[in-house]
Amino acid sequence: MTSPRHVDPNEGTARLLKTALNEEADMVQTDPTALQRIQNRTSQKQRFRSRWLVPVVAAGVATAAVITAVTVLGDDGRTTADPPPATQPPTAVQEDVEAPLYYVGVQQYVAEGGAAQGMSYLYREVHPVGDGSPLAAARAFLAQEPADPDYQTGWPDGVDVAGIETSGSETVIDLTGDADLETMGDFFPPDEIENAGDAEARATALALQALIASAGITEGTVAFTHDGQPLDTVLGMLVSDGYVVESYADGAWDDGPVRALVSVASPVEGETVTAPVVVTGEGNVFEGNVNWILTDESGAKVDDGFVTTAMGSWKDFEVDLGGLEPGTYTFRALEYSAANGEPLNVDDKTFTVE
Amino acid sequence: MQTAQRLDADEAITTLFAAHYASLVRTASLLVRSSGEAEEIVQDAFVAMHKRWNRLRDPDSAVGYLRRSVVNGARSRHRHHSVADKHLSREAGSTAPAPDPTMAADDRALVLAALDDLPTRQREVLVLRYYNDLPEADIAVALGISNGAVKSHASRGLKALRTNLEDPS
Repeated sequence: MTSPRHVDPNEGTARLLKTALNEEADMVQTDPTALQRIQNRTSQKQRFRSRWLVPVVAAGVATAAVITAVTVLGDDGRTTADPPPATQPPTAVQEDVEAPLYYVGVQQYVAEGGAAQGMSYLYREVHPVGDGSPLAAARAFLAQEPADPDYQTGWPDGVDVAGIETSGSETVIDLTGDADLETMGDFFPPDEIENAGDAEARATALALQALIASAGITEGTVAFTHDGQPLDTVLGMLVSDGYVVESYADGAWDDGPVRALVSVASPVEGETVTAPVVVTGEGNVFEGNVNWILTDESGAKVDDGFVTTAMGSWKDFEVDLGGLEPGTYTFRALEYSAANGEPLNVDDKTFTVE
Repeated sequence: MQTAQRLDADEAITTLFAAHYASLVRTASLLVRSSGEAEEIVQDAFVAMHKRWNRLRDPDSAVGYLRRSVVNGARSRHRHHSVADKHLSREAGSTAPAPDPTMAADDRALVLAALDDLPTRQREVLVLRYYNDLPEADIAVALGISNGAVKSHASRGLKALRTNLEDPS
C-alpha cells in the first residue's frame, strides 16, 4: 500500500491556533465613537497644516535673501522646508563648534546555527555643529551625512528641528518639516535576516536615541512635538508618555547596549593622514579581544593583529600601523564570535596615506 | 498628476472604516494583547492613511497600507513595553486578561501565551494567516517581506508553537 503520509504534524496546532485567535478576537469590542475620533484628528491636521504653510510662503515673498538661502540649502541636499525666518538662526559663516554626533550603524552577522541576524548600535563621529547649542547640534545631525557610509541618521529626508526646551528632567523636541514621521525605519534588507521585525524596531529606537544624544541630552525623558503639536508616535515608535533617554555612555536595553561594542575613532572615514599611522578606537567584547585587518585598495591584506580592550565596559585601543606607503587603505576592527568564529561588531574605515 | 480618484481622503476614511476598522482592531489586539492600545494603533493608521491618500490612490493599496501601519504600530508598542518594563523593573507576568472562566478560556490562554513567546515576525505571520485568513501575498505586503519568507515564518512559527505547547517551560 502506498498510503500518502502527507499528514502535516502541525495541522492540529494550526487548528488550535485558529480557534484561539478567533475566540479571543470575538471578545474585542470596538469603540463606537472611533470614526468620529479619526475624523476629528484628520480635520485638525488639515487646518494645522495649512496654517503652517502660510509663513513659509510669506517668507519667500518677503525677502530675496531668504529665497537665496533656501535654494542653497536645497542644492546642498538639505531640506527646503526650513522653518520661517523668525526662528531660523542666521546662516552666517561663523566658526563652527565641533562636537560628537551619533549615528545608527547596522550589523548583519551569522548566529550560531547559521541564521543571519541583524543588530544595530550607535556610533560617534565629530562634526561641526554651528554654535554648539542642543538645537544647532540636532539640526546638524539631521542635515549632515555621516562621514562613514556604513552609518545613517535613521531619519527621513525633510525633517528638521525647530526647537529644544529642557526643563528639569523633561525635554521637548519640536520637529518641523513635511517628512513621514509615522513609518518605522527601513534598515535591513527584507528577508535577509531572521529577526527582521525586532531588528527594525531596535534600529528605529536608536534613530530617536541618535537625535537625542546628538543634541547632548543624556538623561530624563523626551516628548516630541511637530510644529508645536504633540506627537504620539515618532517614526512609528510610541512616545506619547515620554521617550526614556538612554545615555550613550552606558545605556542599554534588553537586547543590548546603545553604544557600539567595537568602533574606530580615528582616522575618520575618507581622511588623509601621514605615516606613521596610529588607529584609535574602543572595544567591549568577549575576552576583550578586538581583531583588526588592514587591506589595500585591491583588497589584499597588508597586515593584521589584535589588541586587548575590555569585556563588560569600553576600553580604548591604539594600533600603530607604522610607516605605510602612500595609498588608500581600509582598517577593519572586529570581534570573532566565541560561538562560531564568525565576524561580529565590525567597524571599518577607509583612509589615504599621503 | 491624475485626479481621477474615485474617493477623496475623507470619503476613503468612511468607506474603509466601515469595511475594515473592526477587523484591524482585532488583529492589533491579537498582536499587542490590549484592546485599548489596539484601537489607538488602528486610529493612528487611519489618520496616517488620510495624510497620504493621494499617494495611495485606490482602496486596495490603502488596505495594504493600513495593515502595514497596524503591524508596525503593534511592533513598536511591543518594543516600548519591553523597554518601559525594564525601567519600572516590573516582574514579567501574564498580561493576558482572562475574562470568562470557562474551560475553553484556559486552553485559549495557553495557546495565546505560547504565541506570545514566538519571535515577532513569526507571531505576525501566524496572526495574519490564521486570524485574518490572508493569502501569502497580502501577508507579504503587510510585513514588507517576500512570499517565500511568509511561508518559512509560518512553518517555523507553527512548529515552534507546537513545541511550546507540548513542552511548556
